[in-house]
Amino acid sequence: MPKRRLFAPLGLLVAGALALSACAAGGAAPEESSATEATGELSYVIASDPSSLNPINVSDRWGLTVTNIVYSPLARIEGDGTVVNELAESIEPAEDGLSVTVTLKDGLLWSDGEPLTADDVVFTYTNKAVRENGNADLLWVGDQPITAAATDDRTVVFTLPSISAAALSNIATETYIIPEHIYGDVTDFSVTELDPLAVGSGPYVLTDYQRGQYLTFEANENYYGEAPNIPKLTLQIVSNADTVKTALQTGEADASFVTPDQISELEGAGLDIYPYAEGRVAYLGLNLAKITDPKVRQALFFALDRDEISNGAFLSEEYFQPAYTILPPSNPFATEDVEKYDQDLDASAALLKEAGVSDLTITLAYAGADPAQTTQATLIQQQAKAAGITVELAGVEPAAVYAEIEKGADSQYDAFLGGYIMGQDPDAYSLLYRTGASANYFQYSNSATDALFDAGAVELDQDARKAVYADLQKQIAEDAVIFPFADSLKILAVNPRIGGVEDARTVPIYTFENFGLLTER
Amino acid sequence: MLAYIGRRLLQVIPMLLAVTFVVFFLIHLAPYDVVDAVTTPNMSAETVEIVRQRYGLDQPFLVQYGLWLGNVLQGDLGYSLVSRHSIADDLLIRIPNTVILVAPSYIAALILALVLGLWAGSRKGTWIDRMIDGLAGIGIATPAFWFALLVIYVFGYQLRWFPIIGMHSVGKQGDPIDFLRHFVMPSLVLIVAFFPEIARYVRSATISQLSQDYVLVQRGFGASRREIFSRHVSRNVMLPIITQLGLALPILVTGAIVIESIFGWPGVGPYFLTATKSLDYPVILAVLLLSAFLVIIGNLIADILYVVADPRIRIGGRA
Repeated sequence: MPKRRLFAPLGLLVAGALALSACAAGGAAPEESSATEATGELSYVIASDPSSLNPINVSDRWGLTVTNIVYSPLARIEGDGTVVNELAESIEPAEDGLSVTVTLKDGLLWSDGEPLTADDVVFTYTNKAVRENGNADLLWVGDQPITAAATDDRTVVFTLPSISAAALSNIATETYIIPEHIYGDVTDFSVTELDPLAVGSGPYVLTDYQRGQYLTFEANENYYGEAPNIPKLTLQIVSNADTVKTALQTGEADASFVTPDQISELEGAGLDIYPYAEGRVAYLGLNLAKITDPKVRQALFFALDRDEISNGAFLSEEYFQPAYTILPPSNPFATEDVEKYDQDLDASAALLKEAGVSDLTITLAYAGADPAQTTQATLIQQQAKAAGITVELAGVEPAAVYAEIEKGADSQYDAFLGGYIMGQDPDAYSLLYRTGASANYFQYSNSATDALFDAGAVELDQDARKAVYADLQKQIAEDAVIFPFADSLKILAVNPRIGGVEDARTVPIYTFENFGLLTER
Repeated sequence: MLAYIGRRLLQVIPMLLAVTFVVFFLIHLAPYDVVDAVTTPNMSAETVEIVRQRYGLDQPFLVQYGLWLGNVLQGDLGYSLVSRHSIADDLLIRIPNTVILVAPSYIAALILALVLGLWAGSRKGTWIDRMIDGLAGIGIATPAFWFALLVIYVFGYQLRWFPIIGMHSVGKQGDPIDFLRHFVMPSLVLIVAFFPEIARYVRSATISQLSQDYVLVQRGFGASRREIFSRHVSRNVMLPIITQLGLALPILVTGAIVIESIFGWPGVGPYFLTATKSLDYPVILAVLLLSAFLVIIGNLIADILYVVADPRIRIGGRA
């Protein structure tokens, strides 16, 4: 019976494996999509682990999303520029523009039941303003940090080293107050995780973080606002877009960002689709160190058809808003009173002739793995060809695009495709367009533009400030630095069992201003 | 034998050094600035410079490599540039997750391949043989990620038998039924990815054994086909398969990178892919080092198993 000696154990194993999978399948079969019954849980899919969970230095999308769930800022700046108080009861800028007094709401508590006081606010701002901790830049004016001092339990006075129109926005937004009684002994705030993670003043408390898998949250009993409607929240980490789509269709996940090409299928499966603007500018940027003649740059821009490019890249007019300047169209300071470079092949030809350029050839770099940018690049190539301009395409890794373009005149690339989200205050855009600024990939330098940035930064009167930035946008459009396409909208897909999306408010970066206002239908 | 193992282990050291140096050098050559992975456009040049200094990124290439190597020799794999988490800690969580998925899948694939390969080889030329061989051919030609999406579509979406995401449902750690439900689909994909090559190997080995002289001799002595097959052929086919076990060692850590990412399985795969996307080079180096180490150790184990399994083979000149 030698044969049996060999095959019996194998057969047993195979049979065992089959039985196992049969049992697993049997156990799974009765599970039904829970579309109708309330589970008290909400599952939101995010694409990767947060890079940082430390409110002092967090700056990545998912880190900020988690921070906004667990902690609270003093106030928020809404899309239209209005200030909505959170921990603050009132925010009063001084007449002279050199200080801001913030009064906290009465009876604020941390999630562990301790009172939240002005000392916590001072503690947070003081540590955030330390450059070594990694996220201090918004709290510096010129070469000096903004300082904070508590005058009583509920009052904090912020002192500015010099007048700054952006200060109110910079103080109010994106600084999440952390508890001094928990982190008072921490000596190094440059780390990406504070220990413990869990004490905050946001709508939820973080209960568990399984790296690479999920973060779970429970409603914060001591939250000052309305108690969350859904007591349990999970942020599930899944990087593969196809898996996310299927998980949304099966109801395994309740909400996630999706791409335009997935929408028809998701709508077919009954999901609700919410596109919304993040204040992002998608653009064609030029390397001014290589294309030095503004006439040549303008000629290139006149060759392009903005609508065709955006419709091609973002698939439908529902998913983008056309942009004409360096500011996103939703920005309260954005204007349309600039040279828009609507397609005009005659103007293009005339400008090229004036500049004495024929056989213009431009190398365009873009993220080869990004379908939207690939479409933009090929359409640009095709449109420029019609105007007699040759565009050579270089599809590479996004990190390589910027590293190479930063070399300026030595760069291989004359132009590149990009996008940025710089927030509400127009002063933040000086990082991109001021002479020698840290993110000035365009090698752009114009003293008139710099002067306008200087004027705008210290102009406290809102209307006068708008006029300054309108001139600024005009100036940069005239200099033909970037060709803005559109604010490509973020598209959120939500399981129909979840309601309250309007109340929870879709906002840039954080997805929802307050996850706690979502409801189960 | 022990001297042989010792000598082989000593050879491992320069090989590993060379591997890490090449990887380190290539990452250094890449046309990016690693510091971009940890900074944002909102940061001022001063802040970026502080960050650069803090991570030692302002040092020359050889100094950076030396620092890294020195730490590794002390058992410190360093910290992820992006998350500032200890890589050793992260890997200790992730490697078991990967092993628990890959090991059972590989063993199942091995058994399947043995059964089918022996069967096909012993029936060379029949419809059974052609079917099994064809099946293996299809398996080899099918990209695993595509098959994974197909499996998700059929069993996850259409039939709704299994959950799609992760290793277990939130809050159900340690629930074996819940784990199995998550395990079935990625494991099925891995079995289909692993088995065809081994099956083909077993089949061709079987065929070549059956054409050996000893089979003819046995036949001449009047042994039945069944006896020849079970006593001799299958044993001779099994021998090299044993060594396959050693060579499969690296698969335990890096064999499921793509499949894990598709199913959101919290193993080494998504960790490594995320790190490569963000140029998190300490993580890339750690995983590659581990993988190279396993390849070399796996080879060694394979050689030793071979000797253990067939005492006629002797290594290193000593009889």
